[in-house]
Amino acid sequence: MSPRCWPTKSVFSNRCKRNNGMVIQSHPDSIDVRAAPWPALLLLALLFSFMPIESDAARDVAEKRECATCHIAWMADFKREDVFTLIPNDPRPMQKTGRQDVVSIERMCFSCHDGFALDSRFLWQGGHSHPVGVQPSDKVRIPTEDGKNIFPLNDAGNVYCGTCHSAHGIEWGDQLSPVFLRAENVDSSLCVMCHTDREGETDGHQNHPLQKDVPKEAKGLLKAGSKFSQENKVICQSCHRVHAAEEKKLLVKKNDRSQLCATCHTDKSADSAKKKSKHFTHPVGKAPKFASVPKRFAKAGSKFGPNEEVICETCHRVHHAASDKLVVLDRDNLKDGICVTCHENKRGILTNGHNMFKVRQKEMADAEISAILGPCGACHNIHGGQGPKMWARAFDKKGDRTAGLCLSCHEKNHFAEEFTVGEYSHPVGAALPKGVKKPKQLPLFTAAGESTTSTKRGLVSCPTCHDVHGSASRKGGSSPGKAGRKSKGKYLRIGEQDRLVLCKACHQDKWSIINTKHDMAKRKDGANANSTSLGVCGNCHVVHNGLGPRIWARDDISKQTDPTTLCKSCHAEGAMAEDKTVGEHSHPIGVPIEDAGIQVTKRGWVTQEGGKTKKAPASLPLYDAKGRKQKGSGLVGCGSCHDPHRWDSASAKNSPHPESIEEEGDARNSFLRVKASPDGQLCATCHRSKATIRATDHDMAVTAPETNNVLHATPEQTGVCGQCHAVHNAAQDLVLWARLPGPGGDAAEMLCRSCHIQGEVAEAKAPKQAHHPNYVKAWASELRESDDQKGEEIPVFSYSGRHADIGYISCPSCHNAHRWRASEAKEGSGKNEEGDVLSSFLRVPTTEGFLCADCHGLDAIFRYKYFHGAKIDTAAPNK
Amino acid sequence: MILVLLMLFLSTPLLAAEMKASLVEYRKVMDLTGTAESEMVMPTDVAIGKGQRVYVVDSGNHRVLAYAADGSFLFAFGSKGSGAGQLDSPVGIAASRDGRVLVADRGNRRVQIFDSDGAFLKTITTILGDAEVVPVDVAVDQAEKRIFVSGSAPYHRLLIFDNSGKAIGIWGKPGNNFGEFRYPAALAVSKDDETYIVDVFNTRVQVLNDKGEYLVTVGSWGVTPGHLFRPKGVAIENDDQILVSDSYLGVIQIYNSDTRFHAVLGTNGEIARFDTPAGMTVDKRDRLYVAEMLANKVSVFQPVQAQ
Repeated sequence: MSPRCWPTKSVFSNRCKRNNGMVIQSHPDSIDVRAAPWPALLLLALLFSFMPIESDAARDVAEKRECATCHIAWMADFKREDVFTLIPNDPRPMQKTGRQDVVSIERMCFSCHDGFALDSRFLWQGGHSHPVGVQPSDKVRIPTEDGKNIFPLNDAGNVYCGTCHSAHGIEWGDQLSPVFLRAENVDSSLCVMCHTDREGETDGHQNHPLQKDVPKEAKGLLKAGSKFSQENKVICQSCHRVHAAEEKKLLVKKNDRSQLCATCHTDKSADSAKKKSKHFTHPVGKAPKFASVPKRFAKAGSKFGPNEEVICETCHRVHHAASDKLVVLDRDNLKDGICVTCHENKRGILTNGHNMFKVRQKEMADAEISAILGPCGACHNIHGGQGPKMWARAFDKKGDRTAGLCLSCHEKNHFAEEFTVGEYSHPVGAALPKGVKKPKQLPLFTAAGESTTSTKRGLVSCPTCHDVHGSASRKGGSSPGKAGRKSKGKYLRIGEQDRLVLCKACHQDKWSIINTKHDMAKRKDGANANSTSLGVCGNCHVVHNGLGPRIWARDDISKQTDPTTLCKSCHAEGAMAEDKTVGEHSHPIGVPIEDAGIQVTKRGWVTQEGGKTKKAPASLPLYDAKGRKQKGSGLVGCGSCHDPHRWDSASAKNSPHPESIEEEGDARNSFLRVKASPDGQLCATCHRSKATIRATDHDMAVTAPETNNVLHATPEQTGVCGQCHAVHNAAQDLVLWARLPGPGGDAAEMLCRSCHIQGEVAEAKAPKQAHHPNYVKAWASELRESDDQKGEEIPVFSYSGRHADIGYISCPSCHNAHRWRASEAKEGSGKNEEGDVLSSFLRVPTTEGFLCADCHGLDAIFRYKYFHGAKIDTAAPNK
Repeated sequence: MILVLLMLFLSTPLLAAEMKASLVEYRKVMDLTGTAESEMVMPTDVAIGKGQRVYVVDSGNHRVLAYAADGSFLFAFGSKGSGAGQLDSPVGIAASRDGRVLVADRGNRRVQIFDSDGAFLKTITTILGDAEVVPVDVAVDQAEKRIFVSGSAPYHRLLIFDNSGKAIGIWGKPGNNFGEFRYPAALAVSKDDETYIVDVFNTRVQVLNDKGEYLVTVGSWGVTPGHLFRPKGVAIENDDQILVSDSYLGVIQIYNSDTRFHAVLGTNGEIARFDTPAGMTVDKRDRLYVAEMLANKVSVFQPVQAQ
C-alpha cells in the first residue's frame, strides 16, 4: 500500500498529500473539478487568496470544530456554493431564538451514543420515550423566566429534544444528572416543573406520593431503568423512564396486571396463591366473580387487566385520584363505601345488624379506612388485614380460623356477647359427613379461612350457614337453649322457614328420618320443652346453645355419665316414648367394645379367631361416657346399634321413608343400623363366635318357625338370636333370656330346658335325666388342665348359671348351643338333622381328655347317651 | 481584476450546479434481517469466518447470528447476561481463519471467543490493573497470534493480547496527534498486517504498522466527499481499497490504498444512502456487508465491475 502520506505534526495539517475530497474522477456521472475550465480555477484560486476559507478554517480551529461535533449546520461547507456536501443542509428543527438546530435530533445523539463511542443504545431499543413533535397538552405548564419558556418549543410549537436538553449555559454538579438538561433534575425536579399536576394535591386531586421510602424489593427496578432519590426515596423516575421505557405512559415496567405497583407494594399484591398466603389483601389478577364494577368507575379512570381482571388501578389512580387513598371515586360518590359499590351481593350489610356504622360506630376498627370502605371497614381492612378475609379485628387464631372471625364479636365479653353460640354448638372446622356432596348454596372454608369448593379441603364454619352480609332471617325463630328468647335474626343462607332444607343440605344422610317414629314433625307430641314446633330436626337438635352433646334440644344432658342419656329424653318412663323403653334386662350399655373381643383399628373392627385376625363384618359407632361419638375405640351406646334417623337400614338414606309412624318394629327395622333378622347379622358384628348357630337345629327358623319368644315374637321377627335372647325387655338378665326358663338343677340347665322339655319346641330332644348330680362340682378347664394338656374348654357353672371356676356340670358344660359340629366352625345345613357323637352341639369331638372320663372312665360317653336316652335308668348310681 | 471577477461570476454557479461526488457503482445483493423468530436489532458489526460464514453482532438482542454465504440463516449464539458465552451489549466482531469468532462484549468488559459453531471457548478480560477498558472492536493479526482490542473512553488505546489472553502490549494514548485516539472504534487488519483504527472523535482512520507505529491517516473532518463526520466502520477490499462508513452522513466512502479519497459508494447512479452504517466487512467475492444499526439489518452490496 504505497505510496504513503507520511505524518506531519498535526493531523489537521495532513492535507499535503490529500485532495481535500474535492474529487477524483472515477464515475461517468460525477464532475471532476479538475476538468472544469482552468481559467475559472485560476480565478478561484486568486479569489480564495483574498478570502478566508471557512471550511478549512473550521477544520483547523479546534474549538469551532468541537462545537460542530454536534452543530453540523454551522459548518461553513454548507454555506458554500462551490462544494458538494454529502448531505444537504437541513438545520431543522429550529427553535424560535434561532439557536437550536439539527443538533438536537435523535440521530445526532445516536451518532455518538451507538456503542462505538458512548453507549446509550438501550434508549433506541424500542420502547417509549417522552413525546416529541407534539404540542404540550393543556395539563402541562411550562415554567417561564423573564417571560421566556425555560423549556423552549420549536418553531412549530412542538416539544423536541431541545425542549429539555441543551449543552450550554447549564451548570451541573457532579451528582445532578449531567445529561445536558436545561435545568437541574434533582429527584425528578425537572419533571414536575412542567407536569405540575402530577405532584401532591392539585385541584382537589391526589397523586402518588413522592419522597416515600423505597422498599428493598423495589431494587430490582433499577435494572429496568428506575431511579430513586439520593436518599433512596420515590421520585417520578422510579416509575417512569423518559427514554426507552418498556411500557406506555413511559412506565419502566409492564403494569397491565399491576406488576409495577406490586414491585413496591408487595403487601398489597395478592395475584398468586403464594402471595395470598403471605399478604392478606384484596385479590388482584382475577376477574371478579361475585362483584361488578359500575360504569362510573370506568368514567373516573378505573382500569382492568387484559382479561378483565381486577388490578390495582381498578380502584386506585396513581395520578388525579379522587382521595388521599388514591381511590378513583371521591367520597361523595362512595357514600356507602367503595366495597359495596362493587360487591352488590354484600349490600345487605347496609341495613342489617352487622352495619357497625349504625349499631356500634365506636367499634369501627379504623375510622380513616372505614370512611372509604364504609361499614365494611369495621371488620375488613382491604390492605393489611388478617387472613383471607382481610379481618380488621383481633381474633383467636387457634381452632377454626373462619369461626374465629365471628367469635371475635360473638363471644363472652365481646360486644356481641348476647348472641353467642354456647358450649354445645354445631361443630365448625369439621369436614362434611363422609359421602356428602358440597351443597351448592353453602360455602366451605379451608383451615386457613379461605372459601373453597373442595370438599376435600373444605370445612364447615359459621359462614357456611350464615351470610352476615345478607338480610337477617326471613322469619324469626327461637333459640331452644334460651327459653323464651326470640332470635333477632340469624342471617341464614337458607331461610328459616326452609330450615329443614338448610340442615338437609349437609345432613342428607339423615333425611330418611322423615315419616318415621322419630319424625317429630309428624307427632302430635313431638314438640320439645321450649317450642311448639321446630320441625323434624329442631325438636331434638338446636344449632347453637344446645343442652348437651349432639346439640341436644330436649333435656339438659350436659351432666350425663353414660351414652344412653340422650335417648332417655324420650325413651323413659313418663316420657314421650315410654312404651319403647329397654326394660329391666337389656343389652349392656357403656361397656368397652373390647369386652366383646373386638379391637378397633384404623381399618375397622377386627377379632381374633383361631389365632388369626379377622375383620368384623361391620364397624358400629362407639361413644364416650357423655355420649359423644368417638373416632376410635369407645363404649357401646344406644347409637351403636340404632341409627335414630333411619328406620330401616335397607331404605335409602337421603330420601323420606314411606309412612311408618304406626308400624311396630322388629329386628328387621326399628332404627337398627344393621338388620338383626333373619340371620342375626347385627348381633354377629360383635358376637362373632355365636354366628355358627345359623341354620342349625337351634335356629328356630329351621326347626320351629311358628314358635314365639317371651315377647311373642316369631323367628321371622326376631331373627335367629332373638328367639332366645332379647336385647331389650329380656325375661331375665342371664344371657338376656327371651324364653320362659324350664326346670333344672341350675340356671344354665333351666335355660336349655326352656325348649328341651315336654311340650316345648325341643321336646323330642328332652333328656329324661338332664342334669348332672349337683353334689359334684368340677374345676373349670383352665384350672383343671395344665398348660401342656389344654384341650377343649369344658365350662362349669354356678347355680345362677354364670361361668364359675369351680361349679356344676351343666348342659353348656358339654354343649355349645351355637355350634352344631365341634370340628367345624361353620353354620348349619338348614335342615333339622339327627345328631351323633360328632355333632349334637357337643363341645369336643373325641373323648380324649374329656372331663367325664376323669370320673367315669372311657365309657363315659356311653353313660351320657344312656342317661339322655329314652330308656333312662332312674336307679342309676349317680342319681 | 474586473475581468477576473466577471469570470468568477460567470463560472462559479455553473461549477456549483454540477458539483457531485464521484461514485463507485455497487449493486444491492440482499439484506440480512434476523431469524424467522426474531428480527435483528441494532446490528453493529459483521465478520466473515471459516467457510465464508457471515457472523453478525445482533447487539440489541445481545447475540451473534450466523449466516451462510448465500444469506440463509444458520444459527444464533449468545444471550443477555454475564455468564460464559453470554453477552451484554456487544459491539465488534472478528473471525479468524482457524475458525475462532471473537466478540467485543462491551457491557461485560471482556472479549469472548467462540468456535465457528458458536460454542464458547474462552474469555479475555479487558480490565488491566485499575483500568476497566470498554472493548469496542476486536481484530486478529495475519499470523493469528495477536488479538487487537480497541478500548473506548476513558482508555482511548489499543490493547494487544496473545492467544492465551495475556495482555502483551498497549498502543496509543488519548489525544488528537498521530498515534493518539479519541474513541478508537472499529478495527481492520490488512494483508500487510497494518491495523486500521477508526478514530471516531478525531474523525479519521489511523493506520499503524505491526509494531504499533503510526503510518498514515485516512480521511479527515468535514462533510464533503472524502471527509468524515462520524466514521464508524472500516473494511479493506481485496484490491486494498479502504472503505469507511459514516454513521451520521449515512454514506460509505472509498479510499485508495495510498489513502487518497477515491469515491463515494453509489448505487443506481446515486450516492448509496445507509441508515446509520457502522461495522463493515468484505468477503472473498468483494461483497460488502454493512451493519445498518437503526435500520436493523445488514445490507450486502457488490461492486458492479466485480460481477
